[in-house]
Amino acid sequence: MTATNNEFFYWMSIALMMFIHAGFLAYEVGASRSKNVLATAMKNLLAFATIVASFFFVGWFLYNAMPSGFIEMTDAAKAALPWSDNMGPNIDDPASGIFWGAFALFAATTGSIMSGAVLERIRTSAFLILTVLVGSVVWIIGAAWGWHGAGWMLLKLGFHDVGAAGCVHMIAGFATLGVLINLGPRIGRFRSDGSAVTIRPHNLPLTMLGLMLIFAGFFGFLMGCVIYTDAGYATIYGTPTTLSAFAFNTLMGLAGGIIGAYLTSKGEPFWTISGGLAGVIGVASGMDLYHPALGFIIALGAGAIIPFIGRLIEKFKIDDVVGAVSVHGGIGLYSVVMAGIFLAGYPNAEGLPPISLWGQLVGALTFAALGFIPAYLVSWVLKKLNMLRIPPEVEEQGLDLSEVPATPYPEGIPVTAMRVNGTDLLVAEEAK
Amino acid sequence: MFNPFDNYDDATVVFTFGGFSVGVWIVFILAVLLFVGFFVRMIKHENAAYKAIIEHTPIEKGPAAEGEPPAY
Repeated sequence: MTATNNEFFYWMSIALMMFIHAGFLAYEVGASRSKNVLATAMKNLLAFATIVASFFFVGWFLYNAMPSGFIEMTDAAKAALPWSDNMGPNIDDPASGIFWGAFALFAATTGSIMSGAVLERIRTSAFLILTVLVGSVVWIIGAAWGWHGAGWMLLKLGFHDVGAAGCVHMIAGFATLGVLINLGPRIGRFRSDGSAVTIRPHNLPLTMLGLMLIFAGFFGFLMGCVIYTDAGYATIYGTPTTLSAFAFNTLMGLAGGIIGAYLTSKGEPFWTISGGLAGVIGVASGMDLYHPALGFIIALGAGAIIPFIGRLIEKFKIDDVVGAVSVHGGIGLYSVVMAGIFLAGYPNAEGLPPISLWGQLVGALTFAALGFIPAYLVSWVLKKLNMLRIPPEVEEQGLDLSEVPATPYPEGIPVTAMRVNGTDLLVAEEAK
Repeated sequence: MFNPFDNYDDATVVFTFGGFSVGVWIVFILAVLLFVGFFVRMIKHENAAYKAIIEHTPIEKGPAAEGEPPAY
């Protein structure tokens, strides 16, 4: 019965995490201009498919083989080989498949974080290569190091990141930054004098619905961050916890993040709703231990700073369409550091070092490098091979027209007079 | 034909071929090759599609301005 409950618990976690992908799809389709919406949707679908498959081929093995830092052929690693007795239907093993499944969804989430940032100018094939790198290789190595009961970051540093703000969000955010540097901005995003031009989403309400779906999916994501057994719930580090703890700080994090982003963005809808995500990520590292009021304050701070991180990135002419570097990279870092400040001195499992600010800072630096360097290097190679970015003619005309054999709005959509592509003003007469 | 057990009394591994078998290695390698082949095919499709749109010869037959399949 315990095994049945355990399987069902993670089955529901997987099912709920699918909402994250429904949310990413809606969010990014809405954030695209109408000439790129189907290509954007296809990119999300294919990211999910390629990450899940490659996570079976290599990802689960890396997680089980690399807690010490390098590949070791332990019993757990051998059991995670795709041809082992455990990596398929096995009546005696009700754990491997369901844990693999939950981690595959974490992987798909991590890989998909980059998806929105690179919209409208990356080659889909290049994106898929990069997302497989991040989703099935890079993040899972980070998880083996810092989000595993035998990971070296826990054993040596007492590292604490129960909600995966570091290994998922920070790694994905810094990987995104590395890719964006090589990819460059969309045509028209910056004027010749360097000033930024806002390229409006074609459907902002759909982006907001997408983020609400992501919020729903996050309950599945965080459900998968705890270990459920007949003895109750434990964190990924083996310390006891409850779903109640996660409920307190997930909801207070959402609330704080939305309010914080509203305040500093002056009610701008995109940043305000992104603030909810920033709030949850902001409290994720220590959500098993924060008082909800402290969680609210930390989350409010997270939501409040994302517009500023977004503007800072913009000053470097980096075009992050959905604010992924800010929300995931910046706030993932913030979350890991906040846990170091407020949880320093908290004990870990017997015999392990306590949580410390120093340990959190070293862990954060490790995750930043692990996310940024491989993604930067591989995207640089793709750029040199002329495989990273679509041709400018295609970018001007839109990906839907070129590589997707279908039309999203065959009867047209209402047009509002506005600046398009950051250069020309579409006047009312033209719109008619 | 591909089952690794005879009855459910003492069965553990029930997936086709069984673990660490030649059969499972063959299907694993085939799956990886299909995965890689997908990327190769996709890159070819992209190259053809971009070339066509730059030359104003949409890859799908239909109105030049639309580049979409004809109505069903």
